[in-house]
This record gives sequence, C-alpha cells and structure tokens, in this order.
Amino acid sequence: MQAVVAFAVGVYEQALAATEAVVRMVAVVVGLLPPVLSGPFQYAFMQRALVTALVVGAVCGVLSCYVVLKRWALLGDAISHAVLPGVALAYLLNLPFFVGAFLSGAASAVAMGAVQRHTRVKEDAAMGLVFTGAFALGVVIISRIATSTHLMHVLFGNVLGVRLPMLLMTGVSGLIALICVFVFYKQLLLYCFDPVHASAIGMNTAVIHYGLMLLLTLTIVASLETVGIILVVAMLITPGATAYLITNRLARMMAIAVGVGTFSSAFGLYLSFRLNVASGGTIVLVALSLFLLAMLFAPYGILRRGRTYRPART
Amino acid sequence: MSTSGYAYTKHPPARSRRFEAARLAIEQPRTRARGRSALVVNGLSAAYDGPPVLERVSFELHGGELVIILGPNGAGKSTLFKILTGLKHADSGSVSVLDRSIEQARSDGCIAYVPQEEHIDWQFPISVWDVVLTGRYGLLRTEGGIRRFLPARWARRQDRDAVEAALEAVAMLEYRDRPIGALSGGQKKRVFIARALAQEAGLLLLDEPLAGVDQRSEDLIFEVLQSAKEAGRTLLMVTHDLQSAEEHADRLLLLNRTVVAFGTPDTVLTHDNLLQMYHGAGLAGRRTGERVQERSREV
Repeated sequence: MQAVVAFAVGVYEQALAATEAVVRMVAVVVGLLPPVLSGPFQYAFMQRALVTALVVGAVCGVLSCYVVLKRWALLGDAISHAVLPGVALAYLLNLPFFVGAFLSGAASAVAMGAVQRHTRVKEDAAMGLVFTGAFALGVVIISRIATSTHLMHVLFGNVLGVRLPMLLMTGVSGLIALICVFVFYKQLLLYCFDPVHASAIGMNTAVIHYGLMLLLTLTIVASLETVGIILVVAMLITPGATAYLITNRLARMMAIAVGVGTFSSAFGLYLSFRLNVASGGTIVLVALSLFLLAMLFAPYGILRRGRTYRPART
Repeated sequence: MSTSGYAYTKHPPARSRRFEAARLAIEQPRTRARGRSALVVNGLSAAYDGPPVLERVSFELHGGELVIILGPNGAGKSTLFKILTGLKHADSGSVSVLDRSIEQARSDGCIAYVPQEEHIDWQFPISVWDVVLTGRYGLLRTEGGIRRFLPARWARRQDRDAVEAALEAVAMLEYRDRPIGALSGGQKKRVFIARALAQEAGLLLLDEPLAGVDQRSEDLIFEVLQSAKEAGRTLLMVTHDLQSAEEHADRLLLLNRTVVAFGTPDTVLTHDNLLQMYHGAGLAGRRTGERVQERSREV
C-alpha cells in the first residue's frame, strides 16, 4: 500500500515537473515574438495563465462544435451552473474542487435526463429546474463559508492566479476529453447527424448521449479556473458557432473552432493585461468579435449567404 | 471551395478488380434472406402514454420482396419503424429479422434505415461522401486492430470502394464532395439509399422516400430498389402515394393500429379495406364513405 502511494506521489511530481517544462517551452516560443506582444508574458503567472487559457480554448473549441450542432447551448449553460454545489462541498470537505465539480455536474446531467424521461416536463423546463436548483444549493452552501473570494473565483474565473497543480489538472482533463473525442469520433458524429441510423446499426445511443454529456462536464470543469462558471458557456458556443459559418465539414469546423478558441484565449489574456481589465470577460469578448466578423464575411455569413452553393440540379 | 474534384463521365473508366469486388459486395449484401422469411413480426403491441398505437400486429416478409405500408396519420407506421430501429421498446410481441433477434440483427448491420426528410438537419457540416460512409460504421466497428478507434477518414480501401460503388449505383457520384444540404429533395433521398446499399444490409426500411421527390428521381429510386430486390434485399416502405404503391409493391400492408389487410395490391385494395383503414371499422359515415369511394375509384 505504501509503495502504491509512494508511486502515485512520484508520478504526480513527475507530472508537475513536466507541466512546468511545458510552461517554460511556451514561454520560450512566446519570447520570440516582438516585445510589444511578448511583454506581458515575461511574468511567470502570465505564462501559466497563457498555457491554461490555450488548453481551455482548444478543448472548448472542439466540444463547442457538438454543442452547436446538437443544439445543446442551454445544456452547457445548465451543467456549468450545476457544478457550483460540488465546488462548494469540495471546499468544505477539503477535497480537490475538480472532483466535486465533476460529480455534481454529472449528477445533474443524469437528473435532467430522469426528470425529462419520467415526467411530462419537457427538456428545456427540466434543464431549467435542475440547474437553477443546483445553483441555488451552491449559493446556500457557500453562504455558510466565511470568505466569498472563493465564490468569485469559481463564478468569474481566476486565470491569473492559476498554480501549477491546477494547470496540471486542467491539462489532464482536457487531454482525456480530446482523446475521447478522437476515439469516439464516428459515434459522436453519427449521434449528432442521424441518431436513428446510429440506433439501427446497434449503437447504444443512450450511452453516447450520456457520454457526450460527461465530456461536456469534464470540459466545463477544466475551464472553471480560466473563465469561470458564468462565461464558460460562451467558450462552449462562440468558437463552434463561428466555425459553423465558415465551413461545411465537421473536421474542418473543429480545427477552426480550436483556432478561434486558442486565439481568443491568448489575445484576450494579452488585452486584459494591457488594458488592466478582467481576463475571463476579455477572452469571451475577443471570441465574440471573431464571431461578428464571421457573421459578416464568412461563406455562410450575411454578406455571402446563398452564394456559396447554388442548388444542385437533379 | 470546389464543388467536386471528381469529373463524372457517362462511361466510367475501367475499374480495378478490387473495385468490382466492392461493387459486387454492395449488390449482394452479406446479410440477406435466402428464401427464408426476412422479417417476422408476431403479436406486436406498443403504446405511448395512452391507448395502444399498435395492437397485436403480425406479418411476415419474404426475402427479396418490396412491401409497402399504407395507413393514415397516427396508424402506427412510424411507431413500427421506431421499434425496428430500436428507438422504442415494444410492450409485447416479438420481432425477428433474418433469423436473429432484433437486437442481434441491428448490431449485425442487417437493418438499414432511410430517414424522412424532416428528421435530418440538412445544415449539418457533412459531405455526401461522408454521409454514405456512415453506412459502413457498423462494419468498421467489428474490425480488429487500431483502425476501429480511428475517425472514419482512415477507413479501409474496401470501405471507400463500397461507398463509391453505392454512390455510382444511385448516380450521385459526381456530387460526392457537395455538402448534403446543397442537394435537391430527390438527390438527398438517393444519397441515403446509397448509404443503405453501402451498409450491405438485408432489410431496408424506407420512411416516405417519395415525399417531395420529382418524377425523374422517383423512377431512379424504384430502379435502384428493383435491383436491390433482385439481389435478395427485402424492402419495407412507408408512403402516402397510393398510385405508386399499387404500381411497384409486391405486397401491400394496410395498417391502422392493427393489420387491416396484407396481400398483393389487387386483392388488398378493395373499397371495404380502404374504408376500414382510413376511418376505422364502424366509424365510416355516409359522407366519409363517399370520399373513400372516390379514392378507391382512383385506385
């Protein structure tokens, strides 16, 4: 038993060292940029913030494609709010907040499905019930905790205060989410495009459904530190919606969404430093500006709509 | 973005032996009925939150025939398809497909489904080629090695050949790189029929494949279905088009909660049967009776 614990601690320390190495590598690469751009990133806390934000931007970008295509924007909102009681309880019990957040997010995803399946209440009302209920529970629990700075960090993110262990957790959960998307790409694509066919060839659509919900929860939990509960939904919608206006292939859409996510993370962080404003909000506003550009100029945007493909003749 | 990197010619170039093998595989599905019954439905009942929508429905499809289901709205046609595709559980009764249980048949890829137009999000970012490739997903899943865990773009050569052959069979190969939404109604149907062919399934479920389809596409669809039939595939189709149902079906299934009549078109399409199907037994007043009489005269 002791050997196992010692091994786990060893692995953890190795992983921390590796994370630090990644941060240093990114810092070196950023250092190559002109000083105007690289200036803010000479501080260690900005380097850690940058790496965290890049990871979150990439993972949220990938998942946002499913959120947009599956019309799960409200669901993303719901799950992100529902992690709050888990965070509060984990804080009280002195557990890592990742664990509590993931568990309460997953539990509320299941609860939403149960309310919808076993009562006459429809999907949107079921989501509204569960997520406001969970959020309220979280607020009540947190009111028993003396300090409220923790609550503010969870709600609005605290990317500038990210420490190495937190960055490691974000990296690991992001990596797990990306691997799952890669391995189950076929299943997820088919489930989003034509669930009846998925069912007809013997895929278990309920498992895919809850699997995608869990992936979403994992992504939200990984992003809490950067943009916070309130704004994570923006990162789960905007990159995907932007990419949706630009291309008509899922793989390309994901690549573009990752681009939008990481660019707005990095540039938003930079702007927030230069202008001395809240980083989470700035990141989301940069992403939104990219969407507005796409809305005007993209192939499926307002100015070019209908010219991309003429209707085919039989 | 280019619409197509492939120049379609009326006379396709001579194909390799490998491609011909894929074409043959498409024509001769792995899972077909050999003179046996392809679909046996026995005493099937199902209900949502109210009275049953299907009540003790029993019928049997032979291998290689085209059976068309006719019935008014709410007759249980879509519920029957939901049970066959696994979206809904039956309350009682049994279904077997190609001598397997329905669950086994689904995971063996025996059942292909051609969806109704409104069930698909046509703005989904997917190309015609990728839609047909989803027909191979069931087969990809049974594959050994790393490939079953990779996205479909690393599909085997034989899968890609099967997709190409299926698209050629419905004359849609020149549109392979189009987004699925940039097609006409008839072309969309043909793409989904190609997917069913690429799946090499023995039983095809077609949910209103003629709705919103022009005459040319309809002829082409029936041409493809005819050759699918000759290859031993069994086809179960729902349509509201009485005329083409009478013209093309081997047998007709009149459904209204339960089986009203089942047999060849000339024996089934009687005035009494249509009356019972569209209005239920005992419900037909004089005026509705007249309307049905008109209808059956048209037929």
